[in-house]
Amino acid sequence: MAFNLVQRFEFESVDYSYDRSGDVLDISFGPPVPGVALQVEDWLAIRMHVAPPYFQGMTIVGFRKIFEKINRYVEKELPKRMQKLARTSVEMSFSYDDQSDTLIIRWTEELSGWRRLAEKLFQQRRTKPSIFETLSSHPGDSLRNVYVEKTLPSKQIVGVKILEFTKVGPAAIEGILGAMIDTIFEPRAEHDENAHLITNTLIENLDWTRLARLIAS
Amino acid sequence: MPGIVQDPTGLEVILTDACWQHVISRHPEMRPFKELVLEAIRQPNGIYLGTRDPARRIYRKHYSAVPGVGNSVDVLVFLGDDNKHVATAYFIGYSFRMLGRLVWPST
Repeated sequence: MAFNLVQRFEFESVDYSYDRSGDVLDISFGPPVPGVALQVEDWLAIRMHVAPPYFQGMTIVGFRKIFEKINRYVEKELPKRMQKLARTSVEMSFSYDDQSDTLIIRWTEELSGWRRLAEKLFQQRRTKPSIFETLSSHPGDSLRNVYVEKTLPSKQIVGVKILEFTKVGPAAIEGILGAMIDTIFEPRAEHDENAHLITNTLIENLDWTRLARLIAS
Repeated sequence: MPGIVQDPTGLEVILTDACWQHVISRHPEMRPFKELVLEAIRQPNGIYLGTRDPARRIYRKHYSAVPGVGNSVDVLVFLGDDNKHVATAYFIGYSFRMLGRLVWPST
């Protein structure tokens, strides 16, 4: 079996609610609809719509308390950040090939609205050359079958490839998410360069510039 | 009417109408399941303290099937900073990492 699933995240329709008394931030792409969460860590859940399956949003419990350690103005800046998020869209594709038992995830950030139109009118899109590198240099850990795809020469991360997906897929995804979270919250710990790069890519998309500086330090 | 229940450690927990309205506005699938949320506090499978926020109390209860939601799901209930009021609650299908430090049942 092989499949190719493509989902475009239109952040134009981003909808959020911050409950100050409970310190809970809920973000949804479009109005909230019934779904089930995947708990990434005890404070972070990704919400999925079940049928058809698509990424519906996320819940952050303890948003101010956790992120104030990184940015003391995080609550005040929330509307501005959501506005900025609403100006971008990301297209993600998930391709699985059963012959090689490989899952490839790729993402492309695009501008929304009139900015996308301007880009289409005035700029030519070219496929950039890319290379794959292992996410972990440790042969024993769950990330040994995970490769990141980087463009050349900028080394911007544009995708992830997981080999032996049916055997190590869940552990590999858990490893990727875990490495990203550890990179954010334990900046002094030793992490692989590619874990830093994936985290930075996501953070830059959300404009968490202060956070990125912390990681780089 | 707010729901007031006691957890297995004797802690009294309040689910206010305002909080419940917030829960069902952001997690519409929860609407018919207020009683499951209260049950998760009264008779959880585990009570945890958060990893990034160690003051945050989390209740987890497993259900083999919940009509309209799915099979093998857990209800998670999070308390607020005051350790008295429910902050939010929702169903999870899978947890990538441990929910934090297990404080009940004690091992």
